[in-house]
Amino acid sequence: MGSQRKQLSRRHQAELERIVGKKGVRTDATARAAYESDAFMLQRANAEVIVLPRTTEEAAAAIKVIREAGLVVVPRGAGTGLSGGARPVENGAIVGTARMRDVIEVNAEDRYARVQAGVVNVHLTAACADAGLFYGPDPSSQTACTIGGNVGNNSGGPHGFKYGSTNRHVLGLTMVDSEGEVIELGGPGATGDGGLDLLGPIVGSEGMLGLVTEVTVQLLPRPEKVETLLCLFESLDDCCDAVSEMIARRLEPSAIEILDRLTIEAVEASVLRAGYPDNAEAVMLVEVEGGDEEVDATSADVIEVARALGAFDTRRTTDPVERKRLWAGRKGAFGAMGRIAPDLYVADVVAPRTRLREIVSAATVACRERDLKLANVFHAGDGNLHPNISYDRRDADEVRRVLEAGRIIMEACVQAGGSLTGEHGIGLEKQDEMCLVFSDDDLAAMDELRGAFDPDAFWNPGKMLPVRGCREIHTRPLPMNGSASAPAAEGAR
Amino acid sequence: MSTETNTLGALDVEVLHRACKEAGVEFDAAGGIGGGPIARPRTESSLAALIAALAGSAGGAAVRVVPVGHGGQLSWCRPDASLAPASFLQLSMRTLLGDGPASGVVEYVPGDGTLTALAGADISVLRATVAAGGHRLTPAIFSESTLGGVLAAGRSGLDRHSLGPIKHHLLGMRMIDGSGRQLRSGGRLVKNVTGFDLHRLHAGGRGIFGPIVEASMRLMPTPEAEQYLTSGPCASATEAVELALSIRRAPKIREQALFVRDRVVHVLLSGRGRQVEADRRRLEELLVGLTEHDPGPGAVAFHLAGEVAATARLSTVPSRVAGVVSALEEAMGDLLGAVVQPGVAQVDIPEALVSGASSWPASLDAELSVRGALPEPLRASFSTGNDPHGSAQAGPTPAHPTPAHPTQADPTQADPAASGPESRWAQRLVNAYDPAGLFQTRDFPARS
Repeated sequence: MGSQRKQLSRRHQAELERIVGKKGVRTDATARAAYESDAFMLQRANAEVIVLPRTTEEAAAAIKVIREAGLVVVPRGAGTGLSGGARPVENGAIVGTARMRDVIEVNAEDRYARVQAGVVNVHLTAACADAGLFYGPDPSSQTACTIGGNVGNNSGGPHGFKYGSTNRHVLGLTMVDSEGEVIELGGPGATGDGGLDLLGPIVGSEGMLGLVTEVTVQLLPRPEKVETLLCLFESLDDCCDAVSEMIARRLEPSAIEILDRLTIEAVEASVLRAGYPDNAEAVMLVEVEGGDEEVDATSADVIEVARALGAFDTRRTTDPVERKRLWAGRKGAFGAMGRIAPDLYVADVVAPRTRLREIVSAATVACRERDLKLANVFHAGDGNLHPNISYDRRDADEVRRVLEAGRIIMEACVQAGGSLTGEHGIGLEKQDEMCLVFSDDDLAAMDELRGAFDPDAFWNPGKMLPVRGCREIHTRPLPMNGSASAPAAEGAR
Repeated sequence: MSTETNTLGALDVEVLHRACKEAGVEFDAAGGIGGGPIARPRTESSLAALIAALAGSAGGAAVRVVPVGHGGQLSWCRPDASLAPASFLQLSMRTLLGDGPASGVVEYVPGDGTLTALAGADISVLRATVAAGGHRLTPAIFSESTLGGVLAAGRSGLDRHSLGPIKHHLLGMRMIDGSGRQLRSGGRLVKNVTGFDLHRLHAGGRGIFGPIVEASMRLMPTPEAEQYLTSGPCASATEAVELALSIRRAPKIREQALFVRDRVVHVLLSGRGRQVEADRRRLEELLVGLTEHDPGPGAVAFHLAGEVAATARLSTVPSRVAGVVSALEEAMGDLLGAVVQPGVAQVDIPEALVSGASSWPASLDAELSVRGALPEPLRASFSTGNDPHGSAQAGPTPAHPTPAHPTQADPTQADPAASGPESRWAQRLVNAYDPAGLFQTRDFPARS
């Protein structure tokens, strides 16, 4: 592929329309505006064309035309990503999966489903509910985000605490490569042992290794009993400490989430009103699943720890309607924050679960010093924090302060032994910060992995990996407290 | 020098000796496993320097190198399963543990449920370390192995039934590639999507991208209660498998491990004490002649019973596993020593059965939907094409005597343009991470 990127010619547009139909090729200003960013709206760009195939075959044929036209491709699901990974490359193509929404197969006996990449996450679980099965990963955006998008970002969600992120659930993929060839990887009967795991690096590759068109995922049997617990705290610190103590005591609920006061207020003032109490500084939302005896015993332990660490009230329910309401509040929290300010910066960092309190504290200080409004709602059980900073993107100085606070929070996490992202990906947002975590050699090796799948940088170029060298960015990997980098570790041994 | 050795190039001991000396690494021309040459680095930087020296030396092109721990997984990972140990250089990952207590534990954080350990760490030592803190480590492999060995071989234990394969619990890694670069991927966190997951390539990668130096693993809590249970013998292995499948289908039984060996169903229940009791009562309704085994020695016996030195491994989907076993019984008799895990739909067949089989059962092809001809007899290695519902692969072959081995394309010689995208990707990955071909094997990854 040459370095010259061309405009889409009429001939190429006509060829695309022949393949996917006129409805599947958009070049008008309205469509371009709709696709100019994902949910990370600080960075925007115009796509040359948006192509929406209906099948793998259409996608493969379209890719050949786009390649011949000299455009690069950004794969896109529902555009709910929060790091800019699905933002168009200027004058490139978007290939979206919005019309690939078929659940192809649900196999109850072998507990797997095969779906088109554009199937919405929650629709998959609905499709297998009659078989007594469900799909594990449940991102907060699950009513909109797609399975293909989940594969791109290795998405998690609240129940990732028990079930893990997407990479634990993908059994196979159908992909289109940059030559327009269709590849089948894995499948329901492929052993997970002892083979070269090409699926491994593809899941979570942020659309940089190819276009995923179909996904085979494992399904899980629905638990016998589910109980949701609400633990109320007068202090966010105490709430964080209670989570750390639950992990230290090796309790195994399926989800542990924290919402702070500002988040509670936003949710309760919205249409998603969940019945969270107005007298708590922090709420811990816990879900326990399993057999009757297991749920009873684990719930009792969770409540004991919560009370010992300062919970002034605890509630528990197995009523499906009540449970659904409590979770709707949690999952709608990001949307509810629209009441606070027009824009929301959703940070996504990970800390060791022993150090939740200090990272929350660091975020609080960083925002207070910059006169920013911070709300916390996060996957505490996984150490995956989401400090949410409300702002107005029309205020350039406020945007600068938001990004500055975001970087300080990332640095605090990395220094505590944490990482840059738990589920949202690097995208455009955190490229430079990759140098906080990885060396030049590490990043070169990652670029070589990308090059092995996509030698011509056809897929989503300019994302995830720093465009400039770390020396140019003036950043080196931070020493991690409590852990050792390679050279330092030698002396210790 | 044998012809086979010459196919990969004769080892030049002088080249090895010189490279080790320059890198400050101890070299023993015959001190390795099976009397092969071995390098014993004491530091990671000297190991990296040695690899860089071998990759850059004029004689390096003829050298094949294999990282080794105890050698328990060596039959999976050496350059060519038919090669004698004298024809490749072993890199000891054990000497990186140093002269101390040699646990190899870099960091165990009970409060975070994570373990970071050197690749040369003994898996049983690691298991004991985390058990003291109330955790367990997957895979539940009880034979002598190192963490790096089981990761490189992608080995799972019987706990795969409930916990999934080992790669699902791998959080991150440090490794050295075939150019001597010290690399890092992932981290020590239970959740992390920062950057490409290079470490996932190494899990099950059989060492072809260079040695794993250190790995971080997610730990599971030690269960409050465990029960090791076996059924009475069934009339056939197929009947036992069907019985085991009925346990898997039972909605209110949460078995942690489930397998069939010698017509007996083995079940491990674990979890909260009262829940295990409740599950056991439900199990009694399904299994006749249920026997409970002592949780101490029973645990080890249970897991060892499931660790067959498989020569062939068949993978399918649960709905087809009874058909596969039925076809095998038809060809091989009682399947004594074979281990069937119906939940993960995997059948491990030991050498003795493979040697005794006269032919590959034709009905098995239908059950596995295997495309293409499979070599006859079954004792040879075989691959399957790309059927998503079933596959067959050669298991580790014994070091001695050398078994028959089919001719396959040498990945280092493969023409990328002549094969599909999957092969091209694999070839380019090899070119990137091991340009001198030090760690390459003729057998893996299979080429279409």
